[in-house]
Amino acid sequence: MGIPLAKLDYRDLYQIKWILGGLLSVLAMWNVFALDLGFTWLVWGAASLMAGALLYPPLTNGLPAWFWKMQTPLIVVFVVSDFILAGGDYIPPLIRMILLLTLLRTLQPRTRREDLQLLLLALILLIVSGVLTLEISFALQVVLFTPLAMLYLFVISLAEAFGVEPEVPEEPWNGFSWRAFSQRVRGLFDARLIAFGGMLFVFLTVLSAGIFISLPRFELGQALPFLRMQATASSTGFSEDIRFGDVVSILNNNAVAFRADVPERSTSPIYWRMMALDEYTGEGFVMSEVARSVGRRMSAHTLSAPSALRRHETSPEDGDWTLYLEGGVSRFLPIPGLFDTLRFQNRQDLTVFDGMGAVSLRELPANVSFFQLTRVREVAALPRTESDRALLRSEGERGSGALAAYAELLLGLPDDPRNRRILEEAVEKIAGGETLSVQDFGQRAIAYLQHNRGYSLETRIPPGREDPVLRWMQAGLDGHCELYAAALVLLARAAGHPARVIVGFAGGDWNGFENYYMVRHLHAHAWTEIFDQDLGWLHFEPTPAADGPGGSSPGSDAADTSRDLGDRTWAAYLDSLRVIWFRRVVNFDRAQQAELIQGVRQSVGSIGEGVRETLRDALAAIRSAFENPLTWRDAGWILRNLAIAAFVWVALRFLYGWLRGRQFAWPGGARRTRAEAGRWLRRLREAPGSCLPPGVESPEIPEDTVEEALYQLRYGPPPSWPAPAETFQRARQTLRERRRAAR
Amino acid sequence: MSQTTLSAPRVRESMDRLKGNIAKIIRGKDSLIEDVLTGLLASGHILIEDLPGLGKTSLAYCLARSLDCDFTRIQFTSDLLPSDVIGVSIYDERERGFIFQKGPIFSNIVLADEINRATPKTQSALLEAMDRGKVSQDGETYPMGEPFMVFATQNPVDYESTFPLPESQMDRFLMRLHMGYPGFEDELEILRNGFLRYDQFDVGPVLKAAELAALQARVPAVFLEDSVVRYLLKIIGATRTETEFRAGASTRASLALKTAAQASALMRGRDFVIPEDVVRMVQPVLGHRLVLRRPPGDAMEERHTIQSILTRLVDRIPLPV
Repeated sequence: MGIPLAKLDYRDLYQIKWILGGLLSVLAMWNVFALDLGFTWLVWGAASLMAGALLYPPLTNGLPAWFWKMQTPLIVVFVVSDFILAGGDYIPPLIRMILLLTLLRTLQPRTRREDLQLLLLALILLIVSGVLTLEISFALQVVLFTPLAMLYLFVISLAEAFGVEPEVPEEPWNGFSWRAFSQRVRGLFDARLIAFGGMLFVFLTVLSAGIFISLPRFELGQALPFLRMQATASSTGFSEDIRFGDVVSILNNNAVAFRADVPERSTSPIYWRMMALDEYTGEGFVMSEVARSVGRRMSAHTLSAPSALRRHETSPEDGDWTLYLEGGVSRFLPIPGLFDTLRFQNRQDLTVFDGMGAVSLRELPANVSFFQLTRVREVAALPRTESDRALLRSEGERGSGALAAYAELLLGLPDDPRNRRILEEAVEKIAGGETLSVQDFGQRAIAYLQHNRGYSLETRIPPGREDPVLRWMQAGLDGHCELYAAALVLLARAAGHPARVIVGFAGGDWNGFENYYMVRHLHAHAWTEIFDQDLGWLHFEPTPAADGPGGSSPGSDAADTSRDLGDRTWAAYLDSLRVIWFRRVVNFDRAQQAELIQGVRQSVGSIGEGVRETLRDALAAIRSAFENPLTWRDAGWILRNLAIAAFVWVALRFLYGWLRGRQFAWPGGARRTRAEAGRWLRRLREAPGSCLPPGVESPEIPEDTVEEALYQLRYGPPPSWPAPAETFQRARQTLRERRRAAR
Repeated sequence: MSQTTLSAPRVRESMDRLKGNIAKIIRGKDSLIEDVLTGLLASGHILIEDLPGLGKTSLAYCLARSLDCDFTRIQFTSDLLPSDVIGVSIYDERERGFIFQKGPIFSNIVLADEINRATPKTQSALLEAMDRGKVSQDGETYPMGEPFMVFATQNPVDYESTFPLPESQMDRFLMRLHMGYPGFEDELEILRNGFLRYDQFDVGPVLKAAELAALQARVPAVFLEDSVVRYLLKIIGATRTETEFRAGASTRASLALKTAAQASALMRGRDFVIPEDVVRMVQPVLGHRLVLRRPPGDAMEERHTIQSILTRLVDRIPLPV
């Protein structure tokens, strides 16, 4: 008899609470994987235990009692030794400690105290890992975590209302099955409750978004500076100690190294300079000690360009570029050309190499760091700087001193006379006895190098006593960018032109969704700069293009990007979401705030305009239908719209009727209607002129009154109910009338 | 007349007819009559307690006459034997075997007058028949009439040479009611009309036995909302935790209270129970099932104490609104 009302006992609530707690901890684990914590087994073990306990809660029954007794001393020993062994780096052991505590709280039977602890631990874990990684998934995590945590607190309060001692039920998971559990939980669902909860959630989200928009410069990383973890190792290479062949070794990595927001897509490949290798060691090129030592150390938020990259004249079309450098890529910043200033989101410790035209961060960033370059101009030659003075012939003999020594370094060649002879012969072949300008020499040298040679990443240099680059050159083999760049530098130096190998990235994939460059590790590249007495450091690309024999060169694919729409794959779409996250959330500043508000205003305006336009068209169509003889087209238009309107109306009616019908069938709906009827009965009883007797004597309910209908709703069987909405409306009217009459 | 065709208002109409018929003779006792009829509708047996001469027998007689069914009266005395109540097997010469001669209990309305005067053996024979609705004799089972209602009376004051009913047997009665003195105006009316013997009562049948059975069958279908059931159980629970009672109400008492509340709702033309129905039935249904831990010497005083404790318990539990 009656409708089956879903009722939960304390055990059910305990189970719901336990599962919600498990969900929260699993959710908090999400970003921990992205952290470079060490102890991978700990992270994986904790995650699998949490997931296992969540999927099959009775598993935790099997944990022996001594385990729980031993947990505190074990944790203390582990954590203390972890902190001691970690040395000064306290962040990873701290996270490991939180992780361990979260795991234990997830697995153990929980009373209210432990539940609240678990919530707090999961929250700390979530925030710490989120702030350290600054990933877009953090936003999703928070969005999921918030309602779950609210629900969790709600269930904890409900369970507390039972006032059961002890708080953990006897054998809480005996006979547990997901099927039965989900059926019981489903019995609680109530359309209006879900709708209300959903509305509350949307409201909170909109409110938070509003607050966020009104508060620019949301610097999560800066807000919690102690959480700025430094990565221990670079994931790719590109440091001062880069060795010959290192660039090529990272070419098979498809991951994105950095993203660049540029004013417009470039028609030619962009060369992202990172650093220059100037010293020849006999086995290849490295960054010289001299170059390293002249770096200016500073701590700045904004800095003007190093002198090699400084602009001397500006043009209005030069825009600002923003680069989002992935964590662990390099301390050196990829710089596409000349610029005015370089701005960071917050103050950074830097080293600026003026002569080389490079900027490096003091520490290798563990997570995404971003910076903005103003008024960027890509150029084919870098201007001469003060440090290049020694390279000028007009200054007379190079004399002595550090500058002169550096000038010698830039002309450094293999010492072995055999090697020198090979080079001299090659230069002779290239120049043919003429005195060539640097530009012409470079072009001819490239033609010489590329003659009968293609691109290949797998080059076997034949054995011999000569320099490996020269052996490769002589053997006439295919090669990769480092070989070409090094060979060109050696040839230029042999011809008396100072030259250096530049490493960085070339090209990039254009993301067609959000219009930015995705520069991957496989775009890593090496090329050559040769010094010209008048023009400065000229850029040369000695590596042959993609369609040559032997495969593709790293920078070559950038050349044809202008022809297509860019990368529009699913992976690119996901990548574009990350950029939206960086642009709009992490890197949110006042200009973007204004832009966002402007955008919202425009879109609202355009929607309004669209509606007005449609209405205007509709009115015009109706007017013309009356004024002119009805054409088939107009009649069709009217009929179509009438049919749509009728369909919408019928669908809405159907939905309304269905929801009303469902309301009675749903336990929650019936309960709510009864509660509402009870409230109205009480009001009517307390109001003046009530037709019900004041006491609890079995009342004769007057027939055909609103009280009779309300009693029916409150205590009667649902099939016999009068329409609830109408009854409540009647009750409202009756109450108003009686109050008015009493006045 | 099937159960489905009987609406709650029709039940009320029939019961009102019955009530009006009885009220013509039993003056000023509308509430009592209503309770008796509620007990009848709930297929329960009723114990009426009060002083002699207040109209207990007249009420039972009027009820039986209004119903167009059999009525017997058994005057209980200390020498009454069980066979005097349920019947006896006697040897039939012609049939050459024992034949069961049905006793006075085989009737529709049985008035068991001064039930506490009979010996416990006779009392239990009656109560067993009441409980089971049938009598077994010599391996044969004989069912009672349909409807079957025992209307027992006892005098709570004069306890000389009586055998008070034990609690277990009191539990078999759905309700215990009190006649009480009539009001001034009502007694004036009685005096004006003069004394009438039972046979002279001008009461005709207004309801057939089959009709009554259909009405009774309607009671279990009366709807009890969950909060009302919980309220009912809270009242029962309160009697169990109350320290002044020796023991709380039994599960049979909960069932009885539920059935009585259902019948009470149906009496008012409702097919659902409201909390007030439960409240109304608490005194008649629970009063005789509870015993004080320290009973006073006087039985009437005990009744009043139990009544006031029950009122206090009910007042303390909020109505489910």
